[in-house]
Amino acid sequence: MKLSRGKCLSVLGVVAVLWACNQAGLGVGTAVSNLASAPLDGLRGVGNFLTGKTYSNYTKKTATLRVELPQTCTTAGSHAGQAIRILDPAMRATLGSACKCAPWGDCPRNLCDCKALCPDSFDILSVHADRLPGAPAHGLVFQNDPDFFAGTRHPMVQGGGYCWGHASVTSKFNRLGFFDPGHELTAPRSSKEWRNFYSRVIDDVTDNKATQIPGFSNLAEFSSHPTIQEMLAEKVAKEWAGKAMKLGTLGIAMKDGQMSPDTAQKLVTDVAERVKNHQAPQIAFTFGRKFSTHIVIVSSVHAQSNGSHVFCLKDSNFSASQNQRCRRHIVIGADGSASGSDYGAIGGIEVASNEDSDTVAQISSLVKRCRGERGC
Amino acid sequence: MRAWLMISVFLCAAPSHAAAEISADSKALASIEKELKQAIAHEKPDAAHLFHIYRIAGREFQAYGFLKQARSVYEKALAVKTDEDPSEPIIQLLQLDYLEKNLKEQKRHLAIARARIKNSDLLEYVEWYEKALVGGEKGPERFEGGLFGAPARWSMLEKLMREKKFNEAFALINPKGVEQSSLPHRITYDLLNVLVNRRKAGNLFCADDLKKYPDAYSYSIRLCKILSSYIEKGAVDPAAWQSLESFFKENNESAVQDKRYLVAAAEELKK
Repeated sequence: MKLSRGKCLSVLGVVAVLWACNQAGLGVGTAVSNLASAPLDGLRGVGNFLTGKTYSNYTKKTATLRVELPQTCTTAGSHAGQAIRILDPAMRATLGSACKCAPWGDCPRNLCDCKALCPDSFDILSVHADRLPGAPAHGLVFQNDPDFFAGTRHPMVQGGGYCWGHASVTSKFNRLGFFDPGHELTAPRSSKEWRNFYSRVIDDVTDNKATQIPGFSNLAEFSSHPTIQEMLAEKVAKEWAGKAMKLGTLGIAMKDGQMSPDTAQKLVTDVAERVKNHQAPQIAFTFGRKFSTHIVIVSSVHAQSNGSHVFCLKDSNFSASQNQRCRRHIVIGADGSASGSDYGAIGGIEVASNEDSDTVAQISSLVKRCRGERGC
Repeated sequence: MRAWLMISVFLCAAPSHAAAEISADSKALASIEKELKQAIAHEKPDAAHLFHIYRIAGREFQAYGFLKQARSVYEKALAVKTDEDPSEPIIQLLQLDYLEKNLKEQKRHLAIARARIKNSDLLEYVEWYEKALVGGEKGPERFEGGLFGAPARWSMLEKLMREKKFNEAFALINPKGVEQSSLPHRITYDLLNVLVNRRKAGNLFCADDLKKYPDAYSYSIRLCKILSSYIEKGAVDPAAWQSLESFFKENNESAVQDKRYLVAAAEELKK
């Protein structure tokens, strides 16, 4: 996440006000000081405090923009310049000739505001919201490989893999990859130049940049090519190391006990909102014992009549077909209990610590691309 | 005033802790360094405060990808004589040691961790790190599954291959778990299979990729060609070998050079 110094300074301004109001020296100062010093929980809270605030800002901004800019449809013909609600019968009749005044829409600037075409909100992520994480086309063609090392077959008892890296790379390509099968590089596919080009593509996407990917239709096709697959496999391992071994991560890895009902409810609400807002979030959960932690992508959330909720998953430990139709899932009870299709009783579950900052960075890059394309 | 600065520096740097990869930016580097110097010069912090300034600066440097600077300030944090909890700089330094494959610093930081970390959960992680990633004379000793299982096993596998203990390395891998793996993992299995079983290795997991992409600019495909022709003819094809060596000469990045142990192992087939 690029955090500009300007944003940093504006936060200082907020803090200055809070601190100035707290003459007793308690409250803000003490709370933050405690956050600064506590090794695990405090640091996780610290990480979320400002990053979460920025992510929270997008929650508010998204809601505001949706109210300000309802989806409308404007024709370029006799109704030029007049916004007509899409449910209007007259509009429906002319729908075929209408442009779209919506995120990533095709209305010209004189008919549609840039704020509608390229909203600086979660809705900018809608560009690839149809890429369901469990669908074969939108996954890496190779799995995480928990069974690679010898021993009894159990999803996570033996080797473990680079699940966090696998989920992160999958998520980033799905959100940011603009596949362009109609264009090929001039360099031959057997050349070092070709490899160099796609090496930069992979670096850019995993650096949270919206990136054009010529020559391929989707992530599965892209990751099938040996030259690409070698680089992606390396990137999966690197992404893993960059996330799994940070101090802030160790908190979830230690949480082998059942969640409280309140924690579970907050988790369900948070994840459901993220899915609704075009994000298929990564979640981390620990099962069985400490360090037995896995990261998966949630593709959908479903409420059950008994008060429980089901997270349908894209789990990198399984093949594309094994991820279809919610075959991989976690059920979260109203009492905080959680169990999955594959991992037995589950302890702590959290939205992966990289989700907020990655999402904020991705929004920024997508908005920039959208505006560049539309002359905003 | 001291608490105010602690909050301000802390909040400025806080998001970087949870931040993912951020592009290196020379202006950002200069800005963080300037802010750090000013914080120390203007506030004249006591030891505890100074420790936290360094700690938080380390987060920001690391989040922006300035790992050398992050390492430097984390070390400075540890050098401050204070009773503040040193866990964060120690754990982050261990992460950097792993990322940079710095074995010497790993051992030094592990010793510091054992001496100075009091949190029992973190000590458990340190113990795992030491036994799984560093180990003793024989290398990694601990093979748990879960989140941290993979690097320990790969570390052991690589070590065994470098020591030409191919049978032991081969025995680590589950052939039923190979098929769905990435090509680099499959070619590692295939290489070990041929080193151990020579012309009786049977089908190679890389064969389908080789058939579909025979000219792919890839060390895995070039190595697959060598293995395939070895099984067929009982000898290493010189042109295929030259092609594999060329790939490693033409690509200097560490991600490729770190795989040279595969070439060294494959060379055994020439004997």
